[in-house]
Amino acid sequence: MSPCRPQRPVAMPAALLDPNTVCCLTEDDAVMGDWSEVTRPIPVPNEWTKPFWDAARRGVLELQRCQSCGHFQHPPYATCLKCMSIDLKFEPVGGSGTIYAYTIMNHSGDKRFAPVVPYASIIVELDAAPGALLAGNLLGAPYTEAKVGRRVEVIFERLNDDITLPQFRLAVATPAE
Amino acid sequence: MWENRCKIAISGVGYSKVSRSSEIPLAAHALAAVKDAVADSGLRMEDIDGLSTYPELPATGHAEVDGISVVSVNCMMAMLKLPSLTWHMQVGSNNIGGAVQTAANALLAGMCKYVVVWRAMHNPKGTYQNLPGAQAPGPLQFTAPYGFGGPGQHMAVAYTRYLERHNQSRDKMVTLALAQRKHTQHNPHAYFHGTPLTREDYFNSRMVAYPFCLFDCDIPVQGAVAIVMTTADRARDLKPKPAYLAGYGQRLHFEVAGRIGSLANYMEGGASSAKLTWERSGFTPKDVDVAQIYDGFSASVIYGLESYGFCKEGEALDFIQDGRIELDGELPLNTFGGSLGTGRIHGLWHIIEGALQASGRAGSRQVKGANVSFVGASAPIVTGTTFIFVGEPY
Repeated sequence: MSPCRPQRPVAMPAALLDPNTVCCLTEDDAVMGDWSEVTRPIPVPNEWTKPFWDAARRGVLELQRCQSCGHFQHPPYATCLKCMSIDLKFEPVGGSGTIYAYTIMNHSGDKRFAPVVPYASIIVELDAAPGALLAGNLLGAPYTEAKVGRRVEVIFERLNDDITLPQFRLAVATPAE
Repeated sequence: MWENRCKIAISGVGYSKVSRSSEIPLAAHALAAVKDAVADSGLRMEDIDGLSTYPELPATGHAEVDGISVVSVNCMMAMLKLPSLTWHMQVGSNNIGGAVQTAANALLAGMCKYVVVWRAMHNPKGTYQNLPGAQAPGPLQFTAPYGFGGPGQHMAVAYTRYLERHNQSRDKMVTLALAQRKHTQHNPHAYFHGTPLTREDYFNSRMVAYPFCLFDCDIPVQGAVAIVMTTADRARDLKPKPAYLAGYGQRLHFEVAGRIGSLANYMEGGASSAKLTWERSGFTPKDVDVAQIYDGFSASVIYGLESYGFCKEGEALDFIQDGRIELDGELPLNTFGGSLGTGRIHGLWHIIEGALQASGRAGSRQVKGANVSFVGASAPIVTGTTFIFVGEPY
């Protein structure tokens, strides 16, 4: 059973920072929510997570990386979850990956997200950081495009002067594995 | 095998009224359930000398107020004023199953003689799972901005991965929903007692977080259940036939908060807990006569069946078909209706049913000849605990 399709016109988030590529809007626009209508909860960076958000503000995806064993991990943690090292730094990581899992939210308990219901909340595993799972929304595509294994790439959605969210859209080119 | 197998037993069990509204303070529900369990054992309240619970309110964005939205050990102590109290404990990392296991350990250590364990669940007004307000601190900073709210969505993402990796269909889950609702009709304490469910109801219900529709989610309720635990020799002198604790386990896997969607973590959590339980009890999945597997969301049962070893990974949605989980099936499952039938009271009700089935006290839903009774008392990933109860000590 597929979730029912919504009947609403749509747009890309106005605040998308997308330096290289422009997403094409298609006839599928009809099943894309208008994210510009959504007020998202704003992340509050802390000691562990500040470098992640600082990088995102510059349009760069950086993850915590163990300087002993090279393991990338996300969310950031006190120790390397592979080797227990505490020598951790944030390093840029490639933004290509696959949809690891997803859900389609049909419930609009939180009214701030009601304008985009149903929407795809996805979990992405980056090619360069196996095991590090990033949450996002599938932007610029109908929610029905969310499937496990689908290729995606990072884009950035500016929320305010301090916070820019890493987000995802379907990969523009079919990547070579 | 565990040297203490069958040395601890569940004796009496008790229930409060289960309702949608929270007009009576939760403390009153908890008190009613505790009194009911003590009476079921044939004990007097003065005999109770141990208290154990897990009081957390799993709803997000609601205040925890003792006596109103949670019922702590302190709250119960204040209400009961037990003259012979010698031990109490409130657990954190292992949900209500941990409270039961800790009580068993205290009884084995001689810290107390008769322990009451209760679980009281509040149904707050408004939306049960709320995203944070304007700001998303802590682990929420990586999830809430994307609309990820409560555990339902977290489990839903793992479920899409499950379905698509194993080429399975969510349509098969209807069998679980229908079987459990059928079992619910034999449980007069359950919220959905007297309310049947049809195949059409399931498929026509609204989607909540795909692949979960309304009937894949337990309904939030206000209510409490309780048990009396004691040593086996004392239990034999009490009114009900004892259900002996043959073995237990807890999940030995922890996932960093804020990292969601990993299916492997459900499997590792469940498998680690079950392995301890099989080894300690000496039983295998094939020996089990009846099973209760936590079902706050339907997929939890699927992960449980596979990670505990009842069937192979990717096969549970087929395993539950063809009458296998009916009361007269090969593995009668969630015979009290599960949380999908009783309402959201968490795993103590699964433990109660495991004990009732082992001791032959399950009434019209009793599985004939049941002795080895398995319980998975919460979702395998975070707070998973598993138990085996038997009617015949060995």
